[in-house]
Amino acid sequence: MNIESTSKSLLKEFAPQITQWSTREKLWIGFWSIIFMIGLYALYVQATEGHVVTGMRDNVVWGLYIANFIFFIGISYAGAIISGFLHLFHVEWRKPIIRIAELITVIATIIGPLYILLCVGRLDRLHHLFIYPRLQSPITWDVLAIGTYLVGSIIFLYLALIRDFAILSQADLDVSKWKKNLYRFFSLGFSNTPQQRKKLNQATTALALLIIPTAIIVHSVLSWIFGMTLRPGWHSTIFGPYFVLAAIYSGTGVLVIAMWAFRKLYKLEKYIVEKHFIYLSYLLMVLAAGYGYFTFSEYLTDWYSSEKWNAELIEKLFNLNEFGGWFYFANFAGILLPLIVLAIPKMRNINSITAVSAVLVFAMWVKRYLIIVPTLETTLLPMQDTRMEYVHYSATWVEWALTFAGIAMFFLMFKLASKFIPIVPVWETSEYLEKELMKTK
Amino acid sequence: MRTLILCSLFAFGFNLTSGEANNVEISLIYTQHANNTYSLKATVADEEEEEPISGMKILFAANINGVSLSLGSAVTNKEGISIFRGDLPDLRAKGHQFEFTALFEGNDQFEENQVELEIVDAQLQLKTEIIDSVNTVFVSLSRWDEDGNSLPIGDENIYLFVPRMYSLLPISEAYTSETGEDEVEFPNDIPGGPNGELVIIGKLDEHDEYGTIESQSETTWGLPVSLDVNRLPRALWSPDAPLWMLITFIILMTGVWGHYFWIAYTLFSIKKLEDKNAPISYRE
Amino acid sequence: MEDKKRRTVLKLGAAASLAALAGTAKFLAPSEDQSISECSDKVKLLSPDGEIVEIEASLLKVDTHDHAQTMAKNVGREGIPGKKFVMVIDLGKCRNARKCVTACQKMHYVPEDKEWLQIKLMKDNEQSAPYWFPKTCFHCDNPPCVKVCPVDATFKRTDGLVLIDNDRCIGCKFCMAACPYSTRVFNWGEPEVPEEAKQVAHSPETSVPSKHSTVEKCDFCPDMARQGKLPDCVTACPNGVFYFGDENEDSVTNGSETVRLSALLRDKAAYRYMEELGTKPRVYYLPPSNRMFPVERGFKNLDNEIKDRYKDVH
Repeated sequence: MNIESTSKSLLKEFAPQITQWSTREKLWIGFWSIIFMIGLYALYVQATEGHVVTGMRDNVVWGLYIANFIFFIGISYAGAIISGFLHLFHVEWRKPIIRIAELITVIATIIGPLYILLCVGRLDRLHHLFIYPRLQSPITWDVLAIGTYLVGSIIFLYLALIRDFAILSQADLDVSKWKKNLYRFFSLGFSNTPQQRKKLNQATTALALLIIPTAIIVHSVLSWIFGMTLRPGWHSTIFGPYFVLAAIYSGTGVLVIAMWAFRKLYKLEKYIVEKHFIYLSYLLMVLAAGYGYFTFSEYLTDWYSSEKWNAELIEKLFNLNEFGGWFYFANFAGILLPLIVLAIPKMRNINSITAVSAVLVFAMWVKRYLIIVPTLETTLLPMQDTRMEYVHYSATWVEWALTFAGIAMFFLMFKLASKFIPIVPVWETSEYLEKELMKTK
Repeated sequence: MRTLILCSLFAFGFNLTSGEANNVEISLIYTQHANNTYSLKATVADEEEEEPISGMKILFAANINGVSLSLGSAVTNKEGISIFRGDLPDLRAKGHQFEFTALFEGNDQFEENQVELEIVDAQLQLKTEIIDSVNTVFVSLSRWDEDGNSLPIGDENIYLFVPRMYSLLPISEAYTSETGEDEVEFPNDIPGGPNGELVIIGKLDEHDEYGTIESQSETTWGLPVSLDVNRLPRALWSPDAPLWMLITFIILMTGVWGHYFWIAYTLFSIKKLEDKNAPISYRE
Repeated sequence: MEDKKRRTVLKLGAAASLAALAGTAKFLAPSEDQSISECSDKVKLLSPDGEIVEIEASLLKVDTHDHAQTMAKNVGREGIPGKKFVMVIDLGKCRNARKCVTACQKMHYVPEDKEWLQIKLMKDNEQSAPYWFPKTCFHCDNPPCVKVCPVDATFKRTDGLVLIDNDRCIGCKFCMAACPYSTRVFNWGEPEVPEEAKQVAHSPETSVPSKHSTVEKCDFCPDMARQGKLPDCVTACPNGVFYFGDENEDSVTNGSETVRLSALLRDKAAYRYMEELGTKPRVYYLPPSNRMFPVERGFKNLDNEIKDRYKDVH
């Protein structure tokens, strides 16, 4: 078994990704930078004029931002699950895709909380969270849980990178000196001694064990921001697991899309193969069924008991003149469509799995919006307000600009990371390829 | 001069036609208080607009047995009310028939006006006693004849109150007999001070002849209500979190962060284990 | 001797008020309690025209909201010792005169479109008759809003009040989402605050002035309570709908009538709105029985815009 030569050839293959900028990449960066800049301008407008520039008002106090927050924290599950679970179960095929998954986790966990900040009216007083903390508030739980999760995810990403840094620092790469120095610094002088290997494995396993409950807590706590209130549609005991499952589901969906994109972009057809997609499609099917079960259970109970405000909310969700269209879309495109398409063996190919993932990820975003806005529009006392903007929420350009800025930030950060580290883990993939080779022999 | 400035400040907003002075309407009320004082309350309003007039100086005077007394002055507040307070013995030393006047001297905007009030001095006494474990309030109402002897006042309603934060809470009512007396039962379930302190106020209300007369008696008939302000309990809605929450939080956080620090320590030891001579080997 | 003592007190009072008073006449109101036979103390003040005038110190009694600003902030967090404030709203007497709403707005210097006190037109079911329903903050004993505040900006006091410290609020709006009664309002933009209120230092007891991007709501006017005065909504109501008082004293008053709280709640079958939510409101309602006015009276002389609010109730 010769990992050295494999990894050297691998590195040679991936080097252009790190060392060169193609025109297409520059255009890509340019495009998303413009989107991002528009978002920055929107942020400036919101910061100077106040939240009056958003569609949020006294009844619907939260809108797109919170939906985006849940969405991004949701897709961060890609890393936690793929690298956490699959690592623990020693699933070999995970190896080429772990870096992508972990990057999604870290980047989404950085972007998600920014949306919470956009909901905070007085950012100048953010330090109050630390000087006057109240442990009873789900927001405090959120700050602590997400902070912990982010640190854990960064460490997890780093642990899997140490050996690649070691390889990069020794390889003959056309990169600037400071980059090389950084590689050397971050490689921690890893020289693959048995002791070092043992310690690194210990740390990785411990963190893989830890990151799963942490991820579950993060999304449960997030759901409890809603679950702890006395509002129809929110005050539900299954909200924790419901959100966790939704997060794994959309996280896996985003992972599939990312795999497809990087496979095309970096010519990784050899390493990310159809089998990977098929495996993930099995996972998606299980998750879709589970999510469908939770959704059905949630709305059936509310509809059946038909308590006044729950009934009002259900009526809004089913009424085509209100949220009906989006509600049906979210449930058909987000649950039934993936189930049906992926259940047919003939349909299980790279492109269709990716297409289904894209649809379901969007549907899941819509679902998050439908969790937030209709409930806030269903007040317990009659609203009796003549100001339309206080009665119905409708997002303004500022909110949309900042939503797209978040997506732009996601792509930009991904691109930035790919200029620094190989998007496919060199060491682990070599290991994997060698093992595959052994099998075929 | 001082008055002028005041007027221009306080009459700001009144619609006045210069040169024409409006008439004022003054009403005067006499109240005898429990602590041997009395008060005169003059309410001043614009006769036409029926709006209270603030910042007006009212001069109070009395005539007792033909002797004129200048009592003092007070300025009306924004409700048009000015109150003068004095010691009752000062008046009683001179007699028991009071003729009060409240005088507004007039200014650029309002005409001079004055109002008179005749009051017969009377006395209301409260006595409290527990008889056969029943709280009993004895009420007696009397006045003086010309020789200074006590004369009972019968057929009058006396209301009993307890003072509360914002106002007097009516509890029961007495009706004086020919002897000017009555006795009434008083409930024992009214909240009082920390040791059950409860002030009972008797009141003859706005009588044509005697004005308002208040009298009070201090008892311990109240239900004791502690004024101690305890700290709020540990609760979801108080500043201090429930203990279980705090403990769970500490366990979770130390558990996770403990592992993080352990991992950081492991990384540090990996760095220490670096074999500088051996070039990195990928061989298993 | 006595005179000297009084003079010192007056000086202190005047000094404390001067800073906030500068340039406003609205704050000036003659004293109610102090009646003084001779006025000798004078203070200098800026008149509305910009002139410096001398005024008798005894006349200087600052309007309601001045009192609290001289107090330390933490006093506003502790509550008035021994008190448990409670309100009873008699639905049978309300005719939607809206005097409470405007009085509240005037007192707290908030614009017309911001209602801390709202009047809803309720209709419980198809058969029952509609009735007017004034809604203050319920100052719940198990307040969902306080539970969720991450920075202790909204808090419960020992006297039962739920107040907001707008110097601490971070504007996350979680309390607004948590309040099942939609009581709280947010300053989405820079709030409209009259000049004279801008000068005042904020206190949780006055809720004045409004601060941008923070949450505010009905506060039961604890600054008035400290002066032994009723909240403005109570005194402004022409029909005596609102009874306010202290549960520990078992007494509530609507300004003209004082009654025992326990007797009122018992005799009039009082209830708390949405008791089933478990929020334990400190506001009781007396059912709209034996109405003093037909519900239509509430539509008289009403702005069209406000009339429009109730168009869905038949």
